[in-house]
Amino acid sequence: MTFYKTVFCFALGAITAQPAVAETPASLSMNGVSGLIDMPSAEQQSDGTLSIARSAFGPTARTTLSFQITPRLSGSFRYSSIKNWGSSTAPSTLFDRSFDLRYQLLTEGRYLPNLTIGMQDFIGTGVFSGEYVVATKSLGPKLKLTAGLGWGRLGSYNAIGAPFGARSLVAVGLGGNLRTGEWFKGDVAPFGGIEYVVSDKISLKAEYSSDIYRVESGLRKTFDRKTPINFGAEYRTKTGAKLGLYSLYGDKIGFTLSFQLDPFRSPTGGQAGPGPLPVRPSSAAQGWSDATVVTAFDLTRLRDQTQAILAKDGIVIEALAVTATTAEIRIRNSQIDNAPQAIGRSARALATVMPASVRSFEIVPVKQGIGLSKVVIARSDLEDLQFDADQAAQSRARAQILPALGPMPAEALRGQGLYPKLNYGLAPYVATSLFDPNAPLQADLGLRFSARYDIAPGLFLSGALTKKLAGTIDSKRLSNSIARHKVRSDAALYATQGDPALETLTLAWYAKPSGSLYTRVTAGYLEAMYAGLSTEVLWQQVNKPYALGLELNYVKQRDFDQRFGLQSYSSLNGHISGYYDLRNGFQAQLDVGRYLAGDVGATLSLDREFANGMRVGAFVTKTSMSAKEFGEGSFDKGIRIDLPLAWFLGRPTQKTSSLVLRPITRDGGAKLNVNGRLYDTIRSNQQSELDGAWGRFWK
Amino acid sequence: MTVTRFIPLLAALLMQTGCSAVTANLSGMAPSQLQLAAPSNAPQLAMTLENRNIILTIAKVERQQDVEIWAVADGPQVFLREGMILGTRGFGPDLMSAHAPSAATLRSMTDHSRSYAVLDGTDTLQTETFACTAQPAAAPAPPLTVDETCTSPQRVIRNQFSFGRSGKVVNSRQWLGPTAGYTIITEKIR
Repeated sequence: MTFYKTVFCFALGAITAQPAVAETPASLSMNGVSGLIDMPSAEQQSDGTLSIARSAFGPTARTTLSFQITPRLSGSFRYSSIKNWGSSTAPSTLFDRSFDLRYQLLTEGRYLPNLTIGMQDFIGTGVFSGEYVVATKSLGPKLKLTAGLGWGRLGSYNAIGAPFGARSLVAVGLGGNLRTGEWFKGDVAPFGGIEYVVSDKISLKAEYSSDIYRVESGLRKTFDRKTPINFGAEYRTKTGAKLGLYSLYGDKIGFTLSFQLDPFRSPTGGQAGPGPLPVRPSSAAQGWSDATVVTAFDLTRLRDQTQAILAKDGIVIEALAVTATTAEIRIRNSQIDNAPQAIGRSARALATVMPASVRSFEIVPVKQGIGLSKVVIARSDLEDLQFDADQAAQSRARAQILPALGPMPAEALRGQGLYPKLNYGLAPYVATSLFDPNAPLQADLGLRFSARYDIAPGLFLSGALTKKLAGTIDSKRLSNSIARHKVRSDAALYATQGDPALETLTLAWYAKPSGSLYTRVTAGYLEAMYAGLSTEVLWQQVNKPYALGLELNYVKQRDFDQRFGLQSYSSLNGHISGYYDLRNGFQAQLDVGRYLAGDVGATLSLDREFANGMRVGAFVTKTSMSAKEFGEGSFDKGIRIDLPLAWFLGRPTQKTSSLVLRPITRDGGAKLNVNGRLYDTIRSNQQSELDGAWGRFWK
Repeated sequence: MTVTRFIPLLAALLMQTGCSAVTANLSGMAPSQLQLAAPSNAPQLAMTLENRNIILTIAKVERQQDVEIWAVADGPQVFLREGMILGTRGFGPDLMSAHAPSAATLRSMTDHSRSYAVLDGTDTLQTETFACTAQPAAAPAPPLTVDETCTSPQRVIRNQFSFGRSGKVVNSRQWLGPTAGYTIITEKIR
C-alpha cells in the first residue's frame, strides 16, 4: 500500500531476523551492491535477498535497493544526491536515479574465483555510469581478495588503455535510454581490495579505487580527492543490520547503513498459533448411521458445527451441500495467508463433523462471491496421511483440483447472515510522493474509514473516506509535464485538496459464467483521480499456467477535492492482458492497449514470486507518447514489491505491504487504478499457485 | 531518518484491522469434539525448547491410530509415536512431518534412516534425509539409554533416548529441525 509500511516491514524483518546458521552474507559497498567500500566485488547475495543500503560521504548520499533476482543475477535501483553541485554563487543539489545489473560468470571453487560482470547506471542520465569485470577469491575463512577492471567512471583513474575503442559521449537527453554505445568503451583501469573478517561482527576493508571523481572533485569541487586509497571497518549487529565507517579518498569520512532481508529465512521461523484439529476416524463422527439422508435440520446443524470450528481460523462458510457420500463446502478465507492451509483446515473440520458415509470433501474457495477452484479430497486420504512422513506430496498427488462450476446445488444451505451484511473499519494510511527533485521524500499520514455492504454473492457496495492528519505533500511542487493532458502528474493537487476525500465509492459485480470465465463490472468513484465504469473479462483454466484478460474502462477525471464533482477530461481505455506463470518462481504479464492519456502501447512486467506471497518485480511501458512529450525519463518504468505481513509477524494475516517505485511518475503509460482486478482475485487458488504453497496444507 | 520515529506508532496502527471481523453464529453449539482440549487428569510431559530456553508442559489430548497428540494449553501440538517426535504444530518453526525409527529399532541399535520435513521462509517444504546409527550412551542411565547419530549432507544431529523397564521411551532429547533445534522431553510426575 505505501512506502512507509514497506520500509517499516523491511526494518522489522531485518531487525528481527535471526539467521539460523552463523553465515555472514556478502557485504555491500557504498553503492548498495555486493562490494568493498566504493568498489564492487564479485560476490553475490543469497538468492532472493532484498537489501537496502544508505550511504553518505562529503556531499554525496546514496540510497540503494537491490534484489538478487536469481543466484547469479542481481539488480539495483539507486537514488543519489550530490550537494554543492552548482556554481559557488548558485549552489544546488543534483538528484539522480540509476539502475545497475550484475551477473556472476563464475562461482568460486577451490582454485577459481568468483567472477562477475556488472553495469552501473546503465539506463538514465549516466552520472554514475561505469562497467566492470571483477574477481573475488577467499583465502581461508577470514580473507577475501578482490581485483577488477573498470570502464567509464570506474576507469577514470590510472587507466591502462582503451581496448575496445573510445567512449563516445552519448546524448543523455531525457534519460531512460540504454546507452549501449558506451558500454565497455574508453579507458580501462584496475581496482582492487581486501576484506578481512575479524569475527562474526567485525570486518576490516581496504581498497584501491579507480574512480577519480572527475566531476565531483575536479570540476565542481564538492570535495578534494587526494588518494585512491579507502579503508574502514564494518560492524554487524546481532540482528543483521550492518554499519560501516570509512576513510574516503584521503579527505572525507563516510558511512553505510544496510539491511538485508532473505525470504528463505523468516524472522519468526514460521507461523505460531493453535494447531489444527486432528483428523478423527470417521467412525467417531457424531454417531450418524450409514447412508444417512441429510434433512434440512441436519444440514443446519452440520453447517453450524463446521462453522464453529472454522471461525477460529477466520474462515466463513458461504454455502454447504451434503449428500450421503459427498460434502461440498464453499469457504471464504479472510485470515490465513496460505490457500492450501485454509483448504486443509476446512477438510479437517469436515472430517470432524460429517457423517461417516460422507467419503469425499469438495472444497471451493470463494472470493467476491465467486468460486475459484474445487479441491476434492478423499476422507480416507486425510485419515491415512495425517502422520505420514511424505504427507504433503502424497496428499497433493491424491487431491484433485477442478474448476469450480457455477452456483451451488439448489439444496445447498448458505452461510448464516452473510447477505446482506455491512462491514466497516477505521485504519491509518500513509500516502507518499517520491523523487520530487526538490523534496525527494514527501508523505501524508491520515485515517481511512472504509465500509462494504454485501448485497448478494458477488454484488457489493464499497467505499473509503480519508482524512489527512499530518503531512508534507505540497501542491506548489507541480510537475511541469507537457503531456497532452495531466492524467497522473496532478497527484499533489489531489493530495492537498482532497482533505477529507472520498477515495472510492463503487458498486461491484463479480460473476463466473463458466468454469474458466470470470467477469467484473465496477461503477462509481473508482479511484482518487477517476470515476466511471470499469469492466473486465478473464479466461483462466484452473490447471493451466496462463490466463487471458480483457479490460475496458470509460472514466472521467475527478475534481481535485475528491468529492462528487467531475472535470471535463474523459478517457476510454483498456487492455488485453496475457499472464504466464513460468513455474520457476517467475511470473510474466503483457498488457497491450490504450492508456489514460489516450496513448497506445504495451506494458511488460516480470515478477519473482515466492510461495509465501513475497514478490519483487519490474515493469516497463512503452507507448505512442514520444519521449519528448513524456518528459524526464522518456517512458514509464518501475519496480514493485509485495511484502506479506504474516511473514514478518509469524501469525496469520492477509495484509500485504505493497510498494510501487517509479523513478518519476508522468502521464504516459498511465493506467486506471481499479480495486479487485480479476487475476489478482483468483490466482492464489489456481493450480500452479496451490501446488507451490501446498507445503502448508497440513499446518 | 525521521521515519524511524514513526515506526512504533505505525506498527501499532497497522495491527488494527481494516474491516470488522466476520464471526460465526455459535449459538447452542459446543460439543467437546469440536475442540482440542486435554482432560484435567491427562498425563503430562515437560518439554524444553533449547533454542528458546523455555520449558512447556504438554498434556496428552488424544490418540489417533498409533500416534499420541500432546498439546500445550494454548494450542501448540506435538505428535509422538512410541516417544519419537513425528511432528509439531503451532510452535512457529514446526516439524511438519518425519520418518522416524521404531523404539525396537533403537533398542536393538540397528542402522536406519530418518527424514525431517520443515517449511523454509518461503513456505516451501524442505525434506532432509539422514543415515543413522545407534549405540549405547556413554553415560548410560538404567535400564537403557541409546545415542542416535544421524548424518545428512548438511549436518550431523544427535538424538538420545532413555527407555524404561517396559521398553517405552521415558526421557529424550530430539532434533526438530534446523531452526527449532533440539527439544528435551521428560516425564512429569503428578
